[in-house]
Amino acid sequence: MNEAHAPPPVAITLTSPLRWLALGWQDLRTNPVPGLLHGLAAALFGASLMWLAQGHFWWKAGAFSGLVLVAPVVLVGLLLVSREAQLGRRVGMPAVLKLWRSADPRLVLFGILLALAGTAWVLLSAGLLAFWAPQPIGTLGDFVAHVVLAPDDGLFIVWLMIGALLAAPVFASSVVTLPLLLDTEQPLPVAVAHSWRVVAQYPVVMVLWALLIALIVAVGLLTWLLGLIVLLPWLGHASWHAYVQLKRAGAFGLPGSWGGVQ
Amino acid sequence: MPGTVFGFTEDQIASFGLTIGLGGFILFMLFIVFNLARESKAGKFGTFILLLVLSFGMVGFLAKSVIKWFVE
Repeated sequence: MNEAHAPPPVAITLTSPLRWLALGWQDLRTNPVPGLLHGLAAALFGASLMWLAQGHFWWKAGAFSGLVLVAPVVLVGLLLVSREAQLGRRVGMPAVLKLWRSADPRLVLFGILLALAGTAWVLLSAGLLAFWAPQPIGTLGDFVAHVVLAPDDGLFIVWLMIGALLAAPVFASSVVTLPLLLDTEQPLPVAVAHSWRVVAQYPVVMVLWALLIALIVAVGLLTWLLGLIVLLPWLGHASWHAYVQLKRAGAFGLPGSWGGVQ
Repeated sequence: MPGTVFGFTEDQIASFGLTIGLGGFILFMLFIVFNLARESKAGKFGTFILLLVLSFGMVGFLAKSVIKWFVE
């Protein structure tokens, strides 16, 4: 990459997350197979969890929350597809499988850390509901009846707010970490530190990005997981563009100060 | 109709007031917290956490209203 080809700097504004989504959608349309296969695998995995954990609401809730937190690692292959597309190369599942087989220790460690954070989140959430809900919550129906639709507005909203409070550090640690690890040779702690710095630099834009991700995932879950087949890869591709645009905006230092896609 | 204002019953007006009023109030709270975070120099990361938590609360409030509306 020489300076002559360096793209113009990008400004990060409140509409940037929509732009990332639009660019991600373009990637999914141009090369849909890897994305849809990832989405399908995630939906099938979710469906088999539902089936295995029939009647065990907490197992389900736990598995799903865990899945949402670990999803960035699962989608790392799609970041690769977007990255290669930007370099003018079209790659398919073989390249993704090769990335998986390489078992980059930075990616493995990050996946384990996210899974631990997911477990802690579910335990705290179960604790809060056990302590607070008027009746024991054993099924999804109980949850909707006694938490979501409780006549007193407090519980559901406080539960969501505490969920957001616990998810905030996880989101801050992962929002650009994986694309950065994929794009550069930086060690994991450096990547996570960059991720936190970006969140602190653009707090409002990042809250908007987090809300969009949460809403899109919620739509996927509400369509009995079918929506996830398209929505998850869309988010995967979009998060590559979030990284690139933030990089072009100079969020990680001067553009071109390290390797990777410019 | 007797007992109505502009064709709405007292119950309906109360429920409008509650939904719109509470929604507006939450937006106002969001604005106050945003301002507080800015003026107290809570740090940008603090602003991120405050806004994230409050906006999830707000989305929860909206979602609850929508789900209730669907169920009833």
